[in-house]
Amino acid sequence: MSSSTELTEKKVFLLKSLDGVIFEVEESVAVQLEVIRELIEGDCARPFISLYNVTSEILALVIEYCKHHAETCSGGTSATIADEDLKTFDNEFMNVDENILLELCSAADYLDIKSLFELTCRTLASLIKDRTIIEVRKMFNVENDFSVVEEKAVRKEFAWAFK
Amino acid sequence: MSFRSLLQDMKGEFGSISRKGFDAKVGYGLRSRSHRAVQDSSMTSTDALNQSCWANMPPELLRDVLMRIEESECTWPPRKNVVACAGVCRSWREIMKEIVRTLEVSSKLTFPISLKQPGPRDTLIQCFIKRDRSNQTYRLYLNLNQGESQLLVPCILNLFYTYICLSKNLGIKFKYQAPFYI
Repeated sequence: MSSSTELTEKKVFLLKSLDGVIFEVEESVAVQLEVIRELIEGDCARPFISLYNVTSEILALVIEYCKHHAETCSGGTSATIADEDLKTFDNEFMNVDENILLELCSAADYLDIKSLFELTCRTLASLIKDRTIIEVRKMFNVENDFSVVEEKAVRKEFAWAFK
Repeated sequence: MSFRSLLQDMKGEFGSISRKGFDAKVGYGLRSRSHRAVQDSSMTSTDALNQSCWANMPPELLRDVLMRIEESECTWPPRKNVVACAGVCRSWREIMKEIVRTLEVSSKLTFPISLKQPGPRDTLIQCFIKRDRSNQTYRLYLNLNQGESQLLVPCILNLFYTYICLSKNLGIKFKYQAPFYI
């Protein structure tokens, strides 16, 4: 009797973003956030959870990601079809501007969502890979702070790698 | 690291030498300051908008991202990206030098220092280069492990190609000597 009510009544959590927007998510989605899963396992999860480091814009995206992953994994489709589906979804999901990508990466780290963290890190890495050193410096707003001796070592490595 | 990946490293190395001009994209970064100034001024305004956010990226996240670059670029020429990242600034260099492990552990050639490091222990051929300061020559020593002997010939050839290619990059002249036996 009690098990049937558990099945029909899905547990819901309310997640509050930094800017005060409240999102309602089902437990299957919430457990994808490792921080919340730990709270649930430790029996410390309250239905209302404040997330101080994530804005509503980013939290909406994170929930969309977790929802899709939770649904695909429990959808009953074969593993290969589910994998394909997730791959396509991930590719499209990463088609956002760089600033959002960075915030997503930081949010995935904060909320401890391993797959999203891996995905964003890999996407960021591929952005760096295709750029020149000058572009990378500009992008990260870093100065060339090498001393003359260090610069010499860097140039030597460049000759080794790029000539 | 497997023998196959060592071979891939070598093939990549060889390929990078033969593909002339492939360095144009990243390579110009350190050539001249005047060139750099021209490049800087041509950056678009969208880059200027993006830069503040990237600049505030926490160092531990940057480390995670750089680790992904190091892990994904195992063979040459793509591994040049790892070398490029180590040339951005001091902190990037520090992170990259920390991430890249020695040749013995990783079986990957990355920085020129790799040539002076002992090779991986579990591969078919162990090799190292010794410098003879008295007559400015380098000696390449090979040590054969017990293994599948039919692989030895291509393996030795690949090793020689790799080191000859690398030596050209570094301006070292190799002198062929009759084979010696240890």
